[in-house]
Amino acid sequence: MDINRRDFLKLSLPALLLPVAAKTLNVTPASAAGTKNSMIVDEKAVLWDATKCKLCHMCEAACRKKNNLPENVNRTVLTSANPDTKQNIQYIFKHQCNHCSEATCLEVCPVGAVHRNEYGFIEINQATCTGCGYCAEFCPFKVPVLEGSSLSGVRKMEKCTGCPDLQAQGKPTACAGACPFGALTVGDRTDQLIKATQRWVEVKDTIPTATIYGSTQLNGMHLIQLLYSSPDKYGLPVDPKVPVTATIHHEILQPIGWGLGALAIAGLGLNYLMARKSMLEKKAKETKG
Amino acid sequence: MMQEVEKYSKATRLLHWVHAGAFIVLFITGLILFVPGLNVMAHGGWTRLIHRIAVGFFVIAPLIYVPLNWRATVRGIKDAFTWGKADIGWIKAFPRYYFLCDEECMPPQGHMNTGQKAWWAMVLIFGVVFGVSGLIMWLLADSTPNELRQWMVIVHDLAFIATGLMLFVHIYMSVIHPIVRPLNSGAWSSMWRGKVSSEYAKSHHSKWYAEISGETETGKGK
Repeated sequence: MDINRRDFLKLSLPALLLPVAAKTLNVTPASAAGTKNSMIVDEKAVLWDATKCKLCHMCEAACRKKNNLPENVNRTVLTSANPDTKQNIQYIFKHQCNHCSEATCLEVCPVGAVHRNEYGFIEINQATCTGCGYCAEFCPFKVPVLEGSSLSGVRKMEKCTGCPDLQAQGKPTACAGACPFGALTVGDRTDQLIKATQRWVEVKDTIPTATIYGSTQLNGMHLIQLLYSSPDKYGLPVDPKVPVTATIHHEILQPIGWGLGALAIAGLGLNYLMARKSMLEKKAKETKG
Repeated sequence: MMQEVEKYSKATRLLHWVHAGAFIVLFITGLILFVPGLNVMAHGGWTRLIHRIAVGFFVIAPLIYVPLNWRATVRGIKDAFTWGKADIGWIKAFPRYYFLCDEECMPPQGHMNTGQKAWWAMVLIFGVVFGVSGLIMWLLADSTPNELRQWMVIVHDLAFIATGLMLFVHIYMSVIHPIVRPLNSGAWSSMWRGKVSSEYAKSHHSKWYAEISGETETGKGK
């Protein structure tokens, strides 16, 4: 197989530049994932204390009002795993985005519509969101809701964003601002964890099963809940993980697909140069003979 | 006037072009969601809508073709999954044949050579894989568990990578590789006009040419 140095360089140089291009264009997994906490400047957390909650549901109403949502669309719901126990605070948890430090939705969003803000909360860029639903499919808590048409695919992702505009003004989130019983507060995350622990110490004699949820799960969540029981009683995963499928899709298949595609094109280019050379040599031999 | 033979019927060609057109649209709209640097083009959701419209053509075209061309369909599916010693001959010869253009080393090929048959089998298999995984992700989304749809994303990814790579090879082998020239009497012509020159048929698909013309194999190939 005879290929001269010039032809070889013509092909291998672009191939060598591919990894450089990848880094520059930010197509490598780590940079595209964005789950790193380098964005966080002023880490906050929302604390929901079940032992203070009276199930008035004003937090839900305030959230709907602030976000202009219709009656049947909620970004936060005080609910139970079992429909029979929806009125009993012992079975209630705050079902909404937990703003995980290790956020699956952020990793799987194909268009980078999901990002983390400076307070540590996860936001959706509504203009960018294509409604593909990967975030809803991969979320370990099945939180994101897709509003729109499943048929046409025209829809947007809805979930709690932690009211970043209010937080920027030093105000509490809409839900926390509406709670008349102090069950919902917003503050510096470390302070909120201390507060949750202090409250847990206060109640553990009367509520021995009380559990703090969100302190360490998924590297720490920005919604912290003081629940009456252990999380599994609410249908919440005790040790939630980013699903393995999310890792396979984002960290393995995407780079492999990109890499193999580039290799295939380079390989075909190489084949073309060699084949053309061979044909020309054959023709030259034929005309000579 | 060169002598010609018909290689692909009008119905087959129509199916090919409608299906290929749909596949390219599906491929590009899928690629935009798959390669991080390209996803800026997907903002807002219009590429997903185009993807779904193309799915319509992708699925309906074969569904119309099959009942109207039943015998050809049965034969075609049989061909895709009939593999044997002759194919080993192609596999052994293909580096020399496609890189060095040594036409003497390639054993006689039928209507589809081994490489074409492999692509055809892939189209059949992955067509179904895409259809089923896509159906679950789209129309059955509300009635299936999240975990199943996560795995369908993975399955769809794998099918996309496999067929995407073969698409590049297919286009390259049909119109770019020097051995498929000239275009007006070779591979391109077979699917565009339906005909190839007798010379092309004799040299590239001599087993098939012998069957249809009654001629014994000449010259090229062992």
